[in-house]
Amino acid sequence: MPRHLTINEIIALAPDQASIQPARDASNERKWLTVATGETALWGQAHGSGSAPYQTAVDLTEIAFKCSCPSRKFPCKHGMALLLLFERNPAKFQQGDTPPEWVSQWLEKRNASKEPKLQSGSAARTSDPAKDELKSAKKFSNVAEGLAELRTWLNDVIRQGLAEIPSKGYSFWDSIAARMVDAGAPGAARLLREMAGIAATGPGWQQRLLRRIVLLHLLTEGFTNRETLPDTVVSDIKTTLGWTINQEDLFLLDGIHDQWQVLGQRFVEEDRIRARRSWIVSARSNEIALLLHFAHGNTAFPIPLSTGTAMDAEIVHYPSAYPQRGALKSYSFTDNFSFSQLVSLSILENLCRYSSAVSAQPWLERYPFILRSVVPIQSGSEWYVIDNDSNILPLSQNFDRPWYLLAQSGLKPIDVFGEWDGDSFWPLSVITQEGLVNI
Amino acid sequence: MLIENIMTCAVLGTERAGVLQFSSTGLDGGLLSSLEQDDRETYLLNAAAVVLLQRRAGYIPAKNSSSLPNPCPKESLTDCGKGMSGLIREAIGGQFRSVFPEALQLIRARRQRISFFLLVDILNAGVAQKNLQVSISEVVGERGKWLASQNEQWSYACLVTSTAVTAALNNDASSLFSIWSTASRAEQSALLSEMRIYCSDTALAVLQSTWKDETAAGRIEIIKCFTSNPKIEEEPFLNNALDDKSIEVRRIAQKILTTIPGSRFSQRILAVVSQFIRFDKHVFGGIGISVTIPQTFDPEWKNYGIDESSWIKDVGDRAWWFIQWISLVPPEHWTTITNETPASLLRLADKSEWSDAIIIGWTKAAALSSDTDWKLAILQHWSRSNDQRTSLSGLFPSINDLADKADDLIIERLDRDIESLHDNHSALPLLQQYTNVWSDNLSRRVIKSIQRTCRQTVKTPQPTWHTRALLKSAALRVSPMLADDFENGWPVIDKTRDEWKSAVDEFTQLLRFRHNLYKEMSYE
Repeated sequence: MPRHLTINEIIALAPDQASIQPARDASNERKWLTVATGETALWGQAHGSGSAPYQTAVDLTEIAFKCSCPSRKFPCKHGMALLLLFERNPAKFQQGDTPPEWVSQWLEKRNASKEPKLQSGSAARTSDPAKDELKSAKKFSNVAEGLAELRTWLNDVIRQGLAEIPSKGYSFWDSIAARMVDAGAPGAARLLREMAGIAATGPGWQQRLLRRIVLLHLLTEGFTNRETLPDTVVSDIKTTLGWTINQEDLFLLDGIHDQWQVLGQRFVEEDRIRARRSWIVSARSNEIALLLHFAHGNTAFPIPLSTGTAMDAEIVHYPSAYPQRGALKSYSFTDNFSFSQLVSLSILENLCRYSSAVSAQPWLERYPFILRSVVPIQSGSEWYVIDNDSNILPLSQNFDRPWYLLAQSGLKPIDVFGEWDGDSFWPLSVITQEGLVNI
Repeated sequence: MLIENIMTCAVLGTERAGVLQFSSTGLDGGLLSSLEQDDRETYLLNAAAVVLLQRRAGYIPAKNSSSLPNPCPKESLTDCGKGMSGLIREAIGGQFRSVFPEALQLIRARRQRISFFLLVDILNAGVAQKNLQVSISEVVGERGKWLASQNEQWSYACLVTSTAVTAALNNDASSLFSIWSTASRAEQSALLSEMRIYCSDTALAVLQSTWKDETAAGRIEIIKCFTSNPKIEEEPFLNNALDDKSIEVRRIAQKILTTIPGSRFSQRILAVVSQFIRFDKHVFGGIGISVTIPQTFDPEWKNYGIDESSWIKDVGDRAWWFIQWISLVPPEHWTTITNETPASLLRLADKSEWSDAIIIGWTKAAALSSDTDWKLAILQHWSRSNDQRTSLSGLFPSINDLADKADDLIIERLDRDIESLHDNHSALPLLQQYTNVWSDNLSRRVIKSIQRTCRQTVKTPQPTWHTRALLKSAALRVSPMLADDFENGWPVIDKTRDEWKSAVDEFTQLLRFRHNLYKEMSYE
């Protein structure tokens, strides 16, 4: 019997908000001629606007979709509708059937495409090492040139003084950011573009801006002196500059096999690219990893994850002086996850861990906090959490759901999971005896 | 001090501020003195990197020195559960919003409360939908009320505090005066309802302490509180309200006074009405009805809310005066004084030259006093006469209080015209006024009728507005346990009949959603 995805997990698959309602509408039983389920898949035939019904199938092992409808959205409403219908009324699905040919062929093709991946990686690729080396040298040289310009630009900013910054327009930042993109350092470009708004963030902006400038400065210095730095620090510099690591290479490394559960998620969108940060925790070692997924335009995130989703998985961490980001080497969803091992900490204990992390990896932008027994309180327009030791953490001024947190607490201590960015805390979920509650 | 020096230098710029200066003692100073000082900018950035990263890594949280407010009181209701809360979240906005009130009622009936994670959404929903505020305040539990007390826009959910209820229970006049004087209008209305139950004398005294200073809108809100179960001891206050400057306050006071049995106001009305209508016993048995209406309008009648000119088509001014007077007398009075049933009195009225005026007056009176015997008799009376939908529409705003009898009445009409539920079907207006959950029998009859209509591809290629409206309301009224049955039985609807397709889809989806709600509640 295939695993049921929860409503939240199905909704998380939607390519955009506007696709949810059509999928709900299409999940009406009357709209399906047949629905059936096998060991690892669902399939059905849906009434459509064409003369022939649409053939829709869902691979439940890694959640993949196939549909004969002409929709450009992915997954289309029929794929999501089939999952919604199954979640709501599994009894309607004919069970134990051998899949029809169009489903079995698709599943076989998917399985076949998975196998070579395990053998692959840079070692298995048939590229020319000399060419690769040349390419890599050119890349380093481009970035080095770009960062040298950035260094000059940063020195100019410091020479003229931050007091000049509020009078600068967006193009001041955008032109140097564009240069960084050309140089092959999109990560540096992102940091620069984010800096454009800091002067408008109210009192204390000068120090916040200087902190960003300093991080870029460290990046240029670190890149220049990379030969003298440990590999893990060089990896952090490359990652911060925006270099991608080939996942096939990454999967050559050993990962952590365990049961993992999504503790909390945050979504951001920029230029039609949606990013999803999912923080996951392992059952045995209590280790936390960050999974980053991206979706463009109308496409769905590749894996349906929502707060509370549990899976048996092997997670490989990206190389770093403080490994945090991970990738799913293999996974299968599970319904049995025990939270008994989850350790929450006081504010001070969390800050101590953060201290070690940021000392090892100064470009770390966010760090996961599992706060023990905190109470949310409001003071004027500001919100805070206070723990049993009377220590206070400010909530981010952009956090727009403090009332949801207060509703969960009722001024009684609660365990809260969220992200600390060095200045403020952003709650993502509340840990209750019944499980995780999304905030 | 080092950070201040760095910041000053960075803000002014090294061009103006020169080289960063600092004391070489202390941890920072010791670390910084090892940095190369070849160029001013790099030196400042290196120093800033050391100090700012050190501060970031060594973040020390502030300490709270003030005591925390009291936490929320303990819950007395149980949580309605994750499944139900998930469905409620879907019902708050979007496609299934029409089911939201029913979902609230279900939770209320089970004496449960909304899950904490949904409280903010549900309290916000009450801000937008004022008609649901009472239902919402009853399902948010202690946590919801406590939360609402922290946020002014949600104050509707915590109108009566436990302190106020205790004061009302103990008839603690001084506390009640004090609470009343600082309460918002909505809080006053809620408190007045409590006081009228537990200490009606004090309620009137407290109310009158601020009555004269209230705005017209405030007086209207407050006087509306007396609509439910008005008491004879409240009559003097309501009588005074008949002289209020606001027409609306006067109108509401008149309406309430007519419903207080034995009130002086109703006795005065009876005294006037008995001059207009009389029941005479015939020598050979039976009774006759005679109507006498004055030729001129008495200005004194305005004190009773009587309009001088008729605004109803085909009803003259004199008939209109009569209708208004009759409507002020609870119809039970006529059955009591004649010892006749409503049906026989209606038959008697038919024989009068003023038959329409009498029956319209009684109809209005039955609606005003919610007299179910009279309502049923009137509906049956209209049913027996030349009943077309025009003769029934708008008779009563609702026939929910007739319960099973309404079912029978509608089924009787459906049976009489079985072919389809066309726009002129006599059952339609009754179905529109019957907003209770329909019996299984009625539900099946109505849906079968609509399905028959749908099959008539030539006569009804697309559903009419009335049919769509009926399907929409049927989705909310038919028994949700029949969802499986009602997803079947529809003809295959081809593409050219897209409106039928969407109407039926909408019906089945809404019904399925209600089915899930009920299922969820029964599983808990």
